[in-house]
Amino acid sequence: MLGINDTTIELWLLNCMLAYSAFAVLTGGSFTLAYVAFVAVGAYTAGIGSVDHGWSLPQEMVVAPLLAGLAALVIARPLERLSGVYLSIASVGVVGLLQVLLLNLDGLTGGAIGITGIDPPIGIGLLAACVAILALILRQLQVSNFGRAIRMTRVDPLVAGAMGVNVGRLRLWLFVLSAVIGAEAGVLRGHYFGLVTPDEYGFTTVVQLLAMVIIGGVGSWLGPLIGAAVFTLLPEWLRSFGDWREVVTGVLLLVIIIVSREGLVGAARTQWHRRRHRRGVADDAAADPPPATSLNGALAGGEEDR
Amino acid sequence: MTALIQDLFNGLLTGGVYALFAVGLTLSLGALRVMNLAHGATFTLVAIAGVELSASLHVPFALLVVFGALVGAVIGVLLELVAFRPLRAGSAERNIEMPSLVASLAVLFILQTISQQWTDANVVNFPSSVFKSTQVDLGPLTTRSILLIMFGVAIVLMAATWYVLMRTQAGRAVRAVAMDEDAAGMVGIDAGTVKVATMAASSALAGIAGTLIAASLGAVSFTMGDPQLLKGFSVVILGGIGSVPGALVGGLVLGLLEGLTGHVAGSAWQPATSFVLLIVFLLVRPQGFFGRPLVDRA
Repeated sequence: MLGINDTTIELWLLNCMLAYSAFAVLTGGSFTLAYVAFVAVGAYTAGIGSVDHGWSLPQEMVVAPLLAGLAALVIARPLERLSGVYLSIASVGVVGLLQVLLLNLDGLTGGAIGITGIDPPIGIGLLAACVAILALILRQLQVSNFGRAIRMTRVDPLVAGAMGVNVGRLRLWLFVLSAVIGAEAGVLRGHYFGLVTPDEYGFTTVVQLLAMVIIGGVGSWLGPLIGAAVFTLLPEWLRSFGDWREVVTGVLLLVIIIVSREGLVGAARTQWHRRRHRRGVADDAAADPPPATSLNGALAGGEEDR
Repeated sequence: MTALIQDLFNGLLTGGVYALFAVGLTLSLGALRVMNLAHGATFTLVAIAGVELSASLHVPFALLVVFGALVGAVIGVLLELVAFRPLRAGSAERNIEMPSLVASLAVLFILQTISQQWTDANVVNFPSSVFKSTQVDLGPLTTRSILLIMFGVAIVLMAATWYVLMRTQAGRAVRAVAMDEDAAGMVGIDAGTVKVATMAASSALAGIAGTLIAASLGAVSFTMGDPQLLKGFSVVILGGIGSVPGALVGGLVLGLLEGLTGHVAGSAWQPATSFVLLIVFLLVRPQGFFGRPLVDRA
């Protein structure tokens, strides 16, 4: 029914993990697109660890996020001096550079062929558990004071700074969080497919994940789940369109960025509030989101914490 | 030694095309503040359109380049009208750099799918009946005629772009809009038209670059735009956002350094050149060689 089977659900869960990595950094309003590099770090940790060193899955799931987190701290230093387009371009450059390294350091990474035979394969249970834990953590984060600071930083970093939020520090933590999630996603991805190749971790993946997060909504922990679902299920639903489905993705993305900017979750929330208002239900102050006035450096959203 | 000079020479010629690709990017980013990720997809689609057209109709090569410019311009106009203009209308802020990145990403998906479907995701050969590149000897150096043509066209087009932008009334209008849209409107400049025209010019340059590269590679595929786009952004940063001479110098420097990297470390490491250069420049001299002359308020 609706083209949903075990494989689809597994791919959706994997995409959720990846999307959460991108979400973690984008939700703070900085367009740092280096997340794919951390997914690659995770995937190659799984590959090199399990094939060359006989590591177990839990070992890799500890080592990979440590490596990626450290790498994030190191590259955050120079990157935090940049903003806007400069930051986006530089972070894509980081991904591109890592991809070249993965291709050419063939002693370590297996070159263009990559690494095959990653054991053990993982099933739907572990994937679902990881996504559930992650979703829960991000949800709790969002409804906390920290979440309010994140939202303010995204909507208007200047105001956030004036209200006492350390914008730079906040974005740094989100960047490291994104790296850690990305690394875990990479480990899972490597084990799920049993192989890693460098061409999975380039520009195409960068833009795919960006699109997922924005379609879902950059302001809510539900966003990546929805965005990943769109990317995983749409191809199934649009079978009759054949390979033209990416056009649908493109149109959807364009409509969202023009109309709501808060993604599907944000749009649904706005609708819900409107309906409540129409019914004359007395709302608390939070149900009346302030208009997103500043879109500088961010896709602002006037959404609630929930 | 001759081998090194030959590699550098090849790099320089390739750099001319990098420059041509980047000048369109620098124009849209500098004048309209849109980060156009669809620039590479436009380049690819035009290249494929050119190949498919010339396979069925045997048009002369020069006509094909003009055709490429026209198709590119049409795509540019659509980009502005369908993606960027509605974006500005819905935004209180004039700065749409980040939203425009996403909007152009949407267009990238659409254009890339068209390219993929058109070629059935295959590599399609450029018909040799339209253009046959020949070997050219220049003293100790050898090259192919298409590379020289490409370089020549790139230099001429960049000079023309610079002239229009800096020395004509139309270019003055573009720079005025880039600097202050409201003030430009007060002196009678129609910002909407200027933006459409700028996007048309930017994408036409991508189209010409696409047609030329298709001829030089002898084949096209729907993914050929991605590496070009990344290199293009490197060149834009190298030269300084919005600077036409900067794009030229940046393109040539990247080409030369790629040639050098290829000579020293082997061609497998060539793709690393643009990324390293990009990151170094962003850290050391983020304004590039020539600053941001289009919006220079100082």
